[in-house]
Amino acid sequence: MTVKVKLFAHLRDGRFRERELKLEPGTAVRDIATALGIDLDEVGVTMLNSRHCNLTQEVHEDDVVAIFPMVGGG
Amino acid sequence: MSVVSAIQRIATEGTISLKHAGKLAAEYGLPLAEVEKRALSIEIWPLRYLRNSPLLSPTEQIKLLESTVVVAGCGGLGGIVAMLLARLGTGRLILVDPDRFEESNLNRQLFCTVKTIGMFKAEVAARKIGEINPAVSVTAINDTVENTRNAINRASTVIDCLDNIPSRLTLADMSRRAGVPLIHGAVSGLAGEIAVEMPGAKTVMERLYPNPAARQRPPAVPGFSAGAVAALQCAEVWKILTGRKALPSGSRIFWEIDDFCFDQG
Repeated sequence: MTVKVKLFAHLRDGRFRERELKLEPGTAVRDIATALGIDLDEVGVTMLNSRHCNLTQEVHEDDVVAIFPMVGGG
Repeated sequence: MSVVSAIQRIATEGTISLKHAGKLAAEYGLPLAEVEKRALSIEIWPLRYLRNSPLLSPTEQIKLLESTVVVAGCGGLGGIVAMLLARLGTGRLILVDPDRFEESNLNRQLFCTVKTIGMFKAEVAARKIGEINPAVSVTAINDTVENTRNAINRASTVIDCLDNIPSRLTLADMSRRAGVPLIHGAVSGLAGEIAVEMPGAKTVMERLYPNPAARQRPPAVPGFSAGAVAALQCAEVWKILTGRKALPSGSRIFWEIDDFCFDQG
């Protein structure tokens, strides 16, 4: 299946801004982050088709996944 | 002569200067903010707030002067937030920070100067706020947010300008329990975010920080990123305190300076 993945801020560094990925059925958002080498400690908001989702959320054909970094500085 | 009559007499072109307002405050034994409110009640603008008009009505300016805002964290975000709210004419500011200024704060923290290194951030900010707007009642608390429950309980709004996730979540919990709106702001490098939680409405903080125990290195924070987020936070404070439509509770705006991108969700 094909899923569009969007990355934000420094998560793009050395990766991409937006890309369509071929994934196996049953893939979760967490699996995408891990496959991209993103430290899960860095992950903040995750969204599936513009709605908040958990890392354990499974993705499906034509879904759009957005992964934002955790932002904590003040 | 009543103070209102005295204000009418001394006003020039619908305004009253800080000098004259201060003189009346001394003569009538009133706080400066009280003289300003009475002037506004007869649609005479304290000159120092004139450029808030017509964006703010006199009634809205009075609302601000009667508001109490807790600024949790007086560093990169909090210093600028406190300064902007004082200039806007927020009546009471409670500034909370347990830390002292360090040299590494000089790149971004408004009230950190070569002379204030080693001093408590909240105390320095309170002193500087007094120089910017003597009508604002300022309290400095050199302590963590965990020990400021009384202040939060009497606030109109709480602003999260903290720099660590556990304290941010604690502050959110305290604000919810107190029934006080929370305006969150955070920055990292060239990205920042703001979010709003209204009492009894949809929450957002646990969504922003799904892993509170995550290992976090201190992020890069250039002054312009902190300034941009602080300004957005103040705009939400202004909307909430004057009854305007604010960012919906439970939603957040994520902002990237190098991409000119705002994402709301």
